[in-house]
Amino acid sequence: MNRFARLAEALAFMASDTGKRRLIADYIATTPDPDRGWGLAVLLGAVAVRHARPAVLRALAARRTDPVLFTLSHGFVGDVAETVALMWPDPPPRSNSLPPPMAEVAPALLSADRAGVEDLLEGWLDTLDATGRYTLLKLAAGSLKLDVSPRLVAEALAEWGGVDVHAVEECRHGLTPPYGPLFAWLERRGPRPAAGQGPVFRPFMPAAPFDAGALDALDPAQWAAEWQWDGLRVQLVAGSGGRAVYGRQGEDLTAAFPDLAEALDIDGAVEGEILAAAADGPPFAPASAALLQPRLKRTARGRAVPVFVRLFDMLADGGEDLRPMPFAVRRARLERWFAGRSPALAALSPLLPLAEARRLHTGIAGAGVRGMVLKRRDAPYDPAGAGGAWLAWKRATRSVRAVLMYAQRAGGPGGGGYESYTAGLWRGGALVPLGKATAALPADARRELDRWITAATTNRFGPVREVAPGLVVVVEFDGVSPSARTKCGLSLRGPRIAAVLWDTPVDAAAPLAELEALAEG
Amino acid sequence: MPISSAFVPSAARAAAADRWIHPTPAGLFVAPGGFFIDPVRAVERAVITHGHSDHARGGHSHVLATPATLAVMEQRLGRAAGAVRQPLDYGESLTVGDVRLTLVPAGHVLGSAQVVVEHGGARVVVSGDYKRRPDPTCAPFDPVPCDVFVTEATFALPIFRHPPAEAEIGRLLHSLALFPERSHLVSVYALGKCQRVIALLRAAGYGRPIYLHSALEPLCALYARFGVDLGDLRPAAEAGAAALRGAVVLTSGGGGHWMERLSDPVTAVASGWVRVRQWARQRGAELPLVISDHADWDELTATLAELSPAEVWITHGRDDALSHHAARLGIRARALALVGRSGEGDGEEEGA
Repeated sequence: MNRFARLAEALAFMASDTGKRRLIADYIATTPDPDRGWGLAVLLGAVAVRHARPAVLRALAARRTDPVLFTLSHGFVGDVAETVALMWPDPPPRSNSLPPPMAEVAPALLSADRAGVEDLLEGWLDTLDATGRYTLLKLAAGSLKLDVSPRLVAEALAEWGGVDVHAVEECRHGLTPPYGPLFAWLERRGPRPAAGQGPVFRPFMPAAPFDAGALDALDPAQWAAEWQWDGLRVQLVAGSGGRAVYGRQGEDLTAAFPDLAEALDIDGAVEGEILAAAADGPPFAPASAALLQPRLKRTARGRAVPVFVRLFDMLADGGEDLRPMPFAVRRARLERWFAGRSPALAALSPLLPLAEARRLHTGIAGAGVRGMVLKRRDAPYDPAGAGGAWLAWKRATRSVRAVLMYAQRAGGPGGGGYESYTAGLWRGGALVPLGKATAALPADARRELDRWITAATTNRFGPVREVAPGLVVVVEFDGVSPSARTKCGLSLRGPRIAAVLWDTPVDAAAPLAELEALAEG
Repeated sequence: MPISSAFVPSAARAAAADRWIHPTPAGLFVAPGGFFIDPVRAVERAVITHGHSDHARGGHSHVLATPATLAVMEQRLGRAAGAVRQPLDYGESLTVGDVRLTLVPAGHVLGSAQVVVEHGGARVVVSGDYKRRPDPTCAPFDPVPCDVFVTEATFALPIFRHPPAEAEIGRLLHSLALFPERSHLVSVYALGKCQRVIALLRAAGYGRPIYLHSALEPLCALYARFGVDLGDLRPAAEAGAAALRGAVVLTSGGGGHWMERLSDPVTAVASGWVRVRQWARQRGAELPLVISDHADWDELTATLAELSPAEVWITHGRDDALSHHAARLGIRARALALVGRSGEGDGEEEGA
């Protein structure tokens, strides 16, 4: 467990994907079976438990720490699990109780019940170092942030084993922890595991960015166009081995969308975009993509958000792999399957005539559409995305001039810059905040902005600084929709500060009405 | 004449001590000796515990400190290091006015000292910043029994328990082995942390050249003059890209054009603060190394238990938690809250 914890910590701090892959490979290469298999299971998100709720953590703290010191420490650290981990006494030197191996911890957490989990954690905490304790508590709370996608893990395994990443992707879904046969294959000790047992994830085909200037060069006979939906691109897989909803990086989203997994009665794999359904619109009218977030977080409110899926590709039908076939053939198979089944909660993504693409693209206004995707009719489904067979034509970015109102310091004590910025628009004589935006500025411009904020701060609320209204910024965003949860009544998608207009007077910022006019119903 | 260790702390003497030693806006003042300890303003007479900039300010008329601390001040402050500078070796005593003054090692950085002041039978020890771990670059902390122990509390929260520094250096070496093509850029304080990290690397068997940002070179040379061997050190600014591949490069935060020659650097930060993840993230650490020149919670509390002074006065840091703990040990605690010491919220003090 201490060894896995060192990996988890190193991954959490390592910025580059190359570095992360090497750390994972190092762990796999130097950790014995079956521990490494259970470590891999955690990396792949297969050990999802929520035992260590705040009440459990506080009860644990009460077993070992002075309440006054705990309160002071928690105030400094800001995270209960981390505070418990750091304050918990270290094991005595030459302690005769060894830290538990991952092969003990992960299965025990999976089968633990709420009543016994406190004693279980306490026993382990007594044997671990601070990093081990932190990783254990975060794992047990279901909030261990490793910042690695299943895709990246598969790449690390493939590099280490000297095999093709798709081969790893396809067989790992059929295997269960601790993945003995997978390691045997990667270490040349056994055959390649068969793909077919569980629902298999097939790596996604990427779309290259498209510039409108190149539209006239495309042969309309060779290309099809579709809306690029503004939701969550997923692969829906079902068969004798079970059903699954997979995200772009192979992450398993089945638990967040059980209704879709249930509704899609398929034997194979289809691809589509999950969209939030507009509550009062016609069937299959998309609502703001922001509604999918509570769904993904699996909150009670999220479970109440109705969703549907727009289907646009078919990758497998029965045991048959359709990916080598041209897009036109796969699309025909999808339409035929769809007509035969009429699955609930699903609609086809319509094909659009390429001749109309330019006109349609300029007219994009509704919620749920991010742009267009152009697809070569004769191209196979290729995860490497070779030759630009799919092209993503994003709708034009929108922007608004707004007045900077607040900035939030990066969490925790002490220095550091600002992590988010809030700007507002005029309504009457007052500014209405638009919600938090990130900064998409070059490093020096951002430092200059941060310096201005520090100098112009008039008020502090915890980590939030309020500034005197004196600076106009350009807020770029990908979409805007009405929202009942924000002060301004609007919710921006992907808001970012794209420029600082140092010399622009604040009354040159836009009125809120300008943004309301852009908002889609 | 050495300090006697056969000393029994007295609550009465401790209670009377603030009549002759007390905080003022300029710093801690020892009235019968007419001098301040680590004053934050320019004063007539200053006794300096160690060379970090929040303790050793410029512009005093008379400065008394260990020879190494004086050398550090001369290097950092030049002519402002003090008009008259008087060295005092560890363990030597000196009578100043009506006070006997002795400097004993604090184990914090080269030259760092605790100031032992004795007056009318009472004894007060002002620790300055200190640590209890072994450190190849400076003399170890010498515990002196006293009526009043004046302590720092930089890391006085039970979340701060520094792991063995050797293990943290082991993590740096492991990263060098795992990423042999990447430069490892380690952020350190120029005085103390820099030389200790180098010495720890050398003790772990790392013999390759270590590259320094130019701001670190003078103090490393000073350590060498005082007999601390740091091995092959080279200026980073003069190193070619090939030399910097997979090399350890130390900086105290400064940069330069040479940084463009680093190959895909792993950024490491050596500080006691990075034990808390938020701090490590804010410092941009990819490799947080929990190496500190200050006492951690266990060292602070063990030192109180070992010395059992009648009173403990806390100069700066987390006086709330340490006072709470002292009360449980039956030691009367007072927070001095000296001005001019960096505390939480306005950056870090040097050398943490």
